[in-house]
Amino acid sequence: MTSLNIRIIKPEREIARIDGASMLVGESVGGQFSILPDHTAYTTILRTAPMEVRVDKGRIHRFVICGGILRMNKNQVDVCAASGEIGRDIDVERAEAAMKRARERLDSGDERMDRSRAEHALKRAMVRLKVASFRHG
Amino acid sequence: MANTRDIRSRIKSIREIQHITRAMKMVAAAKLRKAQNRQALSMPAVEVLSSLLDELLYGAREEINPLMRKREGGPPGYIVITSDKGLCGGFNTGIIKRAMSLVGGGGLLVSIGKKGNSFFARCGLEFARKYEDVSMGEPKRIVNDIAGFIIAKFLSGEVGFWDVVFNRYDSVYEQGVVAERIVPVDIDRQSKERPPMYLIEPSYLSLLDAVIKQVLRQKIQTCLMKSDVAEQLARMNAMESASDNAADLIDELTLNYNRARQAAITGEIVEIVGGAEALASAY
Repeated sequence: MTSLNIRIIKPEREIARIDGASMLVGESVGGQFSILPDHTAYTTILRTAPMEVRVDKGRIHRFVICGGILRMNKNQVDVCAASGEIGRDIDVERAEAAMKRARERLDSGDERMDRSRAEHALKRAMVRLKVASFRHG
Repeated sequence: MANTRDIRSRIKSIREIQHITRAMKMVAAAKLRKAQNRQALSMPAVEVLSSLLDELLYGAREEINPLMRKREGGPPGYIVITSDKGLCGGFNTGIIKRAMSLVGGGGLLVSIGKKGNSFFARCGLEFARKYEDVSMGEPKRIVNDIAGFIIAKFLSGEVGFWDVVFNRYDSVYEQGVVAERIVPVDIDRQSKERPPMYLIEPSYLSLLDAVIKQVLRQKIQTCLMKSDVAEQLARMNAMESASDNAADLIDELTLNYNRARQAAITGEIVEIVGGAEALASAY
């Protein structure tokens, strides 16, 4: 049976390499998508969103992907994230603190605030918390 | 001839300096390993992104993305990477010399590193942007900031091209100051073989734009990493030769010290013998 070989890379280093995956679920700028083995060659722009990689026997690896590009060819999937994290490495307290900070910044109505950056930080923190929540349930 | 006590104290102080330079060499060696490691770890991202860009550029013309458009005779832009700390031999002088010859003709200057910042400020050059302590702070934010800035300046037509001027050390044969063109993107890099027919979302043009921008950020990051490797290597070599010089000095001074000591002993013996003879002849 064919399977996917997946590499998840961020600018500083490769964060994961999963061989023999049966499905990848991610979110591109066009919306959620999933890739199964023997998918046609595909490339897309990724959004800040969770990513799931399913391996046989129902095991799921989860990641946080903050923007980037995905390329798939001949069952080799390269995810080149602008930044990313492995689900089980997420520091929940830090993510909660980051979310609170971003919310406060957005609510402050400060003129000098970089709105898109604050929104991006909020989104990132929310995705991190969402991915982290799977660990406990 | 200097007296023995002076020589001894000089030897002692040189030995202390040698201890310090040796320790600094070890620190630089450890940092060099770390820097090389970091660079090696970033290679997968570099490879994937640049191979994807080559594939996307297959058969493309330069009008296809504004960041690929070559402009004749536009004012230049330079990103100059120097170190934040000194004691690294000719590391900074080489880059600064090259940068001065380039920037002397006008153009925008983005300076990274305290050494370059203070030197260019003394020369009265104007900065378009300057950064310090990149590795201590948030390199990612700085890389994004630089990338955003140079893209904006290129697209607005204020700059005809951007070069990164930095020190690299790829091997013994491939080292020294280089000026690498990062914008506009070189169209000749497209892959020679026909790439797979990708299903592209949302569209070819927006994907190409995203890939070019990410490649650009990755390139700036790579230049910073390469410069870091070269800096640690330069510091290690500088500290090694400083330790060697200290050893030579100690040898020379020890010789002088022994000579002076021997001369003093000989003088004393001559005095004793002369005194004894004078006494003997008196009786």
